[in-house]
Amino acid sequence: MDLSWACLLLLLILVDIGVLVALVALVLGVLNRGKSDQSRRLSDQSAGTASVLGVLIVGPSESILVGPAPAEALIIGPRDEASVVIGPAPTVSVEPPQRPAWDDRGWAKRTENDQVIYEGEYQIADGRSAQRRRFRGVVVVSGGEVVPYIADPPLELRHHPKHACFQLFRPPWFKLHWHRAAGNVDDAIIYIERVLDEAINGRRAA
Amino acid sequence: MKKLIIAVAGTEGKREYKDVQILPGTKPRDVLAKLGLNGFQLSRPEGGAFGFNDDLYTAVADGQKVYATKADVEAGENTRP
Repeated sequence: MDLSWACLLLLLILVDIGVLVALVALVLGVLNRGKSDQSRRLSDQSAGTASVLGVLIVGPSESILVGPAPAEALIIGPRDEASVVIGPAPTVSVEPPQRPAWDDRGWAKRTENDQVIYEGEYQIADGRSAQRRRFRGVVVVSGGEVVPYIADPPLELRHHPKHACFQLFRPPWFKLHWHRAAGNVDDAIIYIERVLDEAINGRRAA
Repeated sequence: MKKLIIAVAGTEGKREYKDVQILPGTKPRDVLAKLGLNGFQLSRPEGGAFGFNDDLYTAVADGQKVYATKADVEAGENTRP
């Protein structure tokens, strides 16, 4: 008796569960169908329709294509101007002109009252001091006569055989007297430098 | 070998012997004889005159200019009052 009641009760419970499951399945099916319909409607309608419906759709905006600017391409290269070539300067050969000895030694020339007057310095290398000694000089050329003068000649000249040929003319100038006169200003200058060299350096030409 | 320029004094530079080449041992008299400068002597670049038998080669530099001057020029005592 009790067993039969229990079986009956179990049967009823199973039936109830089955009914409940069927109801749940039915409800879920209805709900799913509604959702799919709504999605289909939304996808079929445009954004305008969406705004009417008050639905905010967020999605990718209009695509932006990023690439090289359409402006004219900038080309960097050598300038169109004529190229400048820098190279070694052409060689310039300078040859000394032919100069008389008085010019070569830095003497100056001027003309005064039909006299040609040369002014400069007699120069001698002093062998002992290794210095260049200079003595003011004047050579006057007048009518073919060449007369040399020297200012403040060196003391060493006193011991030279020709010292007596230098006569005080107007201090501090001494005038040289000739035994065989120089025929030109160059010979006169070089001769006096020779005498000074002999006096200062004790050198005698053979 | 050295190169010399021999200039004759008193010619205003118009008489010059360029490219005179001398060998070691050359004396002034050799140069003067070769150039036909009889009665001349060579002057030293630093002043004074070369002796005829001096060693010219060792006394000059390459490219040096040397003057030839009249050798008979000579000072003398003043005989006039």
